[in-house]
Amino acid sequence: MDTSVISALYDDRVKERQEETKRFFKETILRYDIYVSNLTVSELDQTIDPVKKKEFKDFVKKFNLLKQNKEAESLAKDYIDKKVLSKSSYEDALHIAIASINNINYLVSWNFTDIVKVKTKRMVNFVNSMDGVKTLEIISPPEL
Amino acid sequence: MKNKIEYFDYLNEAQKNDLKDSVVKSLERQMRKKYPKDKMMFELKMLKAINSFRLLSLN
Repeated sequence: MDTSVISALYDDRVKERQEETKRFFKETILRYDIYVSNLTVSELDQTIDPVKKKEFKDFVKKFNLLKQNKEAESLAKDYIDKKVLSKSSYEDALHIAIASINNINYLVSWNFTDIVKVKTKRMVNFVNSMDGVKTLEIISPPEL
Repeated sequence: MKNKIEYFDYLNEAQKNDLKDSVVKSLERQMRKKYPKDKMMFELKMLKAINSFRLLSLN
């Protein structure tokens, strides 16, 4: 699960997304094992509001944690080299790579401009297939 | 869109990594185009972009 899904839960400026996210956490995730990466934990640690930061930290504690490693870094660099994502999206690439090498079935994100889009989905799975890594479904919360 | 940080403190991360103001401004322009009305995603993507610079420079 990408950081955007967790932060959307507390972002009341985009009500529709917040409601979908609440539904996702209340109903959908009960059917799955949920994983977050060390990148998500580190990003949430940059939340400016101390109350929200504590809420985020407490919230992610209940999920399984995946850590980046050399294999994920190498795959992420491959995504960048093959222009799946730009250099400024290396952290997103790393997030996708961590999910891929850990055989995660679904990567859930609200990031429609870089992650949840047809080009990224196709290219990620093309690179994964070339590198002998399991393919990955990249989706938004309502799709699960 | 105002520059006041509301969600993710990307400016603090930029400062910690000695990122030049001009680089931060350029990234802000790019991300504002991507997320003109979504402050949370704008700040999250700024944070991710700044972290990406740091991570790529370490490798």
